[in-house]
Amino acid sequence: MLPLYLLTSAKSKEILIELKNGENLTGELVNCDSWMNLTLKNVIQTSPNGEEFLKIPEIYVRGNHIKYLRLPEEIMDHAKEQNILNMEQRNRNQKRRGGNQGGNYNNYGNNNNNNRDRDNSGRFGGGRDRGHFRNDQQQHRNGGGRNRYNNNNNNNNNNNNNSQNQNQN
Amino acid sequence: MSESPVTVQPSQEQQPQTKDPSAPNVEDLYLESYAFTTAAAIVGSVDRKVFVLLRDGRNLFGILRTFDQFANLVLQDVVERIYLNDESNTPKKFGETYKGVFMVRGENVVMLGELDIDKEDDHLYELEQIPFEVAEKELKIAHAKTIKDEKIKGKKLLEKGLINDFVKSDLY
Amino acid sequence: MLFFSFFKTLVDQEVTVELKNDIEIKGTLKSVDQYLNLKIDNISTVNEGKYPHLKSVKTLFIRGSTVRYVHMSPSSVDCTLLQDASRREALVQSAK
Repeated sequence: MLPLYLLTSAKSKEILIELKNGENLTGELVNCDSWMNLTLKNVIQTSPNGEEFLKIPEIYVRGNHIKYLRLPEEIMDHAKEQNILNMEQRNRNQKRRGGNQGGNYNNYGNNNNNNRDRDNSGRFGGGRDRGHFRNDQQQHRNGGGRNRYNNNNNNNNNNNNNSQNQNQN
Repeated sequence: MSESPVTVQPSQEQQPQTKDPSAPNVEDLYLESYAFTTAAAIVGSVDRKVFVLLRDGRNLFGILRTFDQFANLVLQDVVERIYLNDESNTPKKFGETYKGVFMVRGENVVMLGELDIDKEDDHLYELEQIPFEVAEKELKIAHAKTIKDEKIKGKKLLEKGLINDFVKSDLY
Repeated sequence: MLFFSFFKTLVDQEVTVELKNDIEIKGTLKSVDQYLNLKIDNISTVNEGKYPHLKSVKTLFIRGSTVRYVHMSPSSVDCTLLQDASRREALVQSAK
């Protein structure tokens, strides 16, 4: 899960921002975008020397002025849950997609998909440890089932494809 | 698509032929270029205890959870530690405090090191621990001194036509 | 991209990286990317007493923008090859 995606799940939560100039802002995160530009409400601004405080109802922060953000601890758990949900969703989608395609072609497609999934979860620290392991196992099981299914229905699928093409003509 | 149903059949049979020789090559190429990306350099440290030095001189110790192509980092269970140097610029005291979850913008990172958790505390036994707030105050004084010194240095260099490459926010 | 390619040829060799804050770090160059961020294995700091927390660090990722110098063994640099490469790069640039 990418940092910026994690940030979106911190919406409506209390966060702290330190700007590059040392200024601190604490408030409720309203919105953020892919440049890390943020809007907050009910903000308390602290000056770099930590001596002056200012209450601001609403503020917009340009992403490139941010040094770091401190997020509530819960969002890591939230991220973990989201990850599991996403993975289940993906598995379900894959199963559905698997039923519609032709035999040989499908085999190759599936291999690629498997690789890509594994890669993503590794690179971005997505489905790690337990999650990752389980995901793999499930994919294997699904893959096996799918192939058998497809081989049996090879003719059928080709017919389907043909009729689709005819429709397009 | 103006293909007739008959042409679909051969194209499907061709699929394995074209895939077989080219597919591994493409993958190799992809992996080869991937080895030299920011992501590949950091990915090994995910879920490990790391140390991050920020440009403002902060030392953060925590577990790296995720990152992106800009080296934006998400750290969990972060402890910030301040090292205080003596006159010879060697640390003598330290203060630390728990800070929770951090998301650091990549531009502010100087370096990120993977820690050996068996050895990470070894050096602390030789240092005196003081409360974090006290360390913070002392650090502020030290920073003010560096900024002043650098300003003087900058002026002197400027007289000789040289530029001192120093910005207030770079205190690492 | 020339220096990126050059640093790629230095992978797995011993280098010393001097940062803008005067830290000098010695180790095996493991990876480099397009921003010249470096990844260094088996690091040791030249001034160990000053940075005790680096003693427990195994591998270090250094942001390219904070590097002042990279020292390397002269034997790992092929000057004529570099000169050729820079000429070629200049040609490509001027052709654009």
